[in-house]
Amino acid sequence: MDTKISNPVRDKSLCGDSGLNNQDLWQTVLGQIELLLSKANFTTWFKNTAIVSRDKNEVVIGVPNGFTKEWLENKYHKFIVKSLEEATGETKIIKYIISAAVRSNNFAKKAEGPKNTNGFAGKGKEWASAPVDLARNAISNGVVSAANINLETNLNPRYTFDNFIVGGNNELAHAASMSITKNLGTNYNPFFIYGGVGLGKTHLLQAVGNRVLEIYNNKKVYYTTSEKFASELISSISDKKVEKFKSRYQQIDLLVIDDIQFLAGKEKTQEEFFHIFNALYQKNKQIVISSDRPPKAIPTLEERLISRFEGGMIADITLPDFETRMAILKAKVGEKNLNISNEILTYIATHIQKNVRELEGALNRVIALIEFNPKTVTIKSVQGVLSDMAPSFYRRATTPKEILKIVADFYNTGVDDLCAKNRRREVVKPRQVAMFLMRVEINSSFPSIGEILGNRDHTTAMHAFQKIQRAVVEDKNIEQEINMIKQRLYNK
Amino acid sequence: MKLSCTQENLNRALTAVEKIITKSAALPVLSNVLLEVDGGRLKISTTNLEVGINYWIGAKIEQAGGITAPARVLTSFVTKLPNAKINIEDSQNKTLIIKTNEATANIKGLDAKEFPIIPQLKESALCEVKNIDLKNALLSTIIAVAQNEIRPEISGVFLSFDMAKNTLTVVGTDSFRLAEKIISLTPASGEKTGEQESASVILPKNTANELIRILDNADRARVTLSVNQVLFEMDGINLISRLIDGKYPDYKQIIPSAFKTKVLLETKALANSIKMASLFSDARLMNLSLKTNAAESLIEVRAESGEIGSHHSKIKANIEGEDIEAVFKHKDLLEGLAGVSDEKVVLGLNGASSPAVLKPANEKSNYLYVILPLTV
Repeated sequence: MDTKISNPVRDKSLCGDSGLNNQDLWQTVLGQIELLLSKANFTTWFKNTAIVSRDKNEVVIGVPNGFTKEWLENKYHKFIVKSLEEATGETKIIKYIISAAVRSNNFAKKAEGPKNTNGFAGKGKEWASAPVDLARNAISNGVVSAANINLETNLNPRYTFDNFIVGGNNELAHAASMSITKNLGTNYNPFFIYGGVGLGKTHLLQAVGNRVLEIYNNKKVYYTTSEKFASELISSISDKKVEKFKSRYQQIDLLVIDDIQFLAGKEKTQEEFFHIFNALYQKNKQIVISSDRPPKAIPTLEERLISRFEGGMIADITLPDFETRMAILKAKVGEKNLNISNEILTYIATHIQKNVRELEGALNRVIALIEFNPKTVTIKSVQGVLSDMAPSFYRRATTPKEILKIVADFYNTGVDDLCAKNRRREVVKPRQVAMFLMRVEINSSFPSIGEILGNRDHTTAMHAFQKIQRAVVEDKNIEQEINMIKQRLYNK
Repeated sequence: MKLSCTQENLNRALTAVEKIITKSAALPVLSNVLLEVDGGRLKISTTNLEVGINYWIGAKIEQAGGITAPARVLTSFVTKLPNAKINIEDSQNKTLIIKTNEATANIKGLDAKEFPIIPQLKESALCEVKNIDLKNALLSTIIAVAQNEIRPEISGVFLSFDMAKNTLTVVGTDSFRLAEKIISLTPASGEKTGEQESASVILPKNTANELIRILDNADRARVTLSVNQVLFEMDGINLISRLIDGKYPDYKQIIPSAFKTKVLLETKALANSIKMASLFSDARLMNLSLKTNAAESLIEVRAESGEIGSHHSKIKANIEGEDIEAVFKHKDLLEGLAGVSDEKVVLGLNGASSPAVLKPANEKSNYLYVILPLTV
């Protein structure tokens, strides 16, 4: 409930007896009464009240409705008398009136909008314009008016295909995106891109939108994140405008949804999204979706959504290889018209491998360094700048204990179970994954791995390592799981 | 408090008053029903601070007093009791005890003193209307009332009391359609025609719905207006409600005074073909087209949807004027037709984008429904 008590000023004239005007006086009185009552009672009965007029003998208090009037007269009268006495030092007769003005103050502002003379739609205009306006408002309200973001489509024009660097890691995703823009809705629908943080999913998604806007001039494009989708849905539910919300989405020709994994666990949102998805899909409208993992690996995503996502084209973006990283750096340097030696670029590209965003960050740091003291930049100073930047440049050392704990957490078992003698299926796999990770991540010897995991033979550890190594290649799920465990290991 | 009454009476009162209750986390007492001995009767009250209802039923009073109890539990329990005598008492204002020969319930309640005081109006009554008239008028106009409160002044039913002509005009609109029904009123007893001032108010939609629910018996309702409030007094029931502030739009000016085309046809036949056609119209737009064919004295109803198929039907009609085709929402048409109690209905058309009118052929019905065509 709105706990703020609004007190419209009816009469600002100062009264002789106490130096307070009506508004301040009432504020003082309310301040005292507030201490005597429960918050619920206070807000229920004193909301929208005010002193309407005051003279030597009496004070007239305006209340919004008959209920409040009765209640104040019969229950809180003595509180009000006492507080007023204390505030003014005088005893006065108190009267209560129902004051339309006090009440209407509440929503007079709302009603103010553009006023139609007679209040009716002229010649059916309201049919046509209202939904469009509403849609536009809804869209623009959501966006912090960042100067260059297109309010209608939510796209940032900075992301285009021209400044997207294609390498082995994103070749497929890029080619599919290009093909989508040429055959909207018919070729790969839905198109699902997944890949880790900072590898260019959003860039590619927005590039598709921007290109479509460029080629066709009558297509409706809308870019949103699943989180924004959910919050728009929620507010539309609370405003009872779900139908409008849906119909707005159903008019889109190209719907781009970023970070779909955040739909996980939001069942109602998933359901609405499912219906919108179906409606668009049936009309051959293009849908492009991104996520940080493949549809199957998104926990608590409904089966029907998973199967629909998998029904189109799925492409992944993996870590860029060295050549791609170099190409990205060179392109960035070219954009900014700078001259940075190949040696330094190579250094950055070799040391930052996991994330294009970090790559750009590192480059920016180096650029700043060069701008401050252009002459003294050497590989040594670059090393200095980058070493303190992000700990993930240099892999933080982990310990077998940490691996055990995180693997156990991830699979929902205990560390004890992993080290115990039993061979139940639900612990065997986590145990093997733990062994694999210890070998790969800290290069432990097989005998020591066996020893940590419950005094097992070194051949057991070897078998586990080989098994998981094979599984990673064959089974996307395992690969995904391992990657997520690694993320937890290093991104704490 | 100690009294006894019949299950039938108590149940009727409780089901009538409990609907207005809204869950209020702030004031738990608002989800309660107040039972109070009042004169020789039992008074049952509920309120949501916008509307308040008092319902009196006959009871054999042994001891005065009052208590409040959660409406949901009390109503559900009383509904399930057999129709026999019920004994009601309270223990120290905290627990409500309900006893029949077979069953006993102790319901935890709250002190009657915490229950909001339902206001009394000091003004004298304005007029009386027949319950059944008012109920029908509200039923046939509330359908057109705006669903949302973006424009508060049209989110309620407009009541205009004309004390010179002794009529009450009831209007609902959402700015795409409008329903108007005029019923007769009698000035409050003791007053002569024209002595009281005409007045008009906007009744919140929820209040109108509640009124429809309790305006059941064939009696008359007495109406009293006050600042921002209205009171309806019926036999044994009082309903007091806040009114909506604001100026109701001057709706008269959108009612067309003349028609390019005037169609006279059977109400049932039209309703039937609209229902048929509605199966084939677009689920979202709900559009169907009406086309007059003066040469053959026919009106053609068409609907088409890409997903379902198409429909076409013809109805015999008397047509005066040029041929016109206009598109409407089938839901709007049907809801408007529901208010037409005559066998024949007049459909006045003014083209594809100007308001059309539905009204009973018999002018005495005093009902009018204006509808804006869809412009596709």
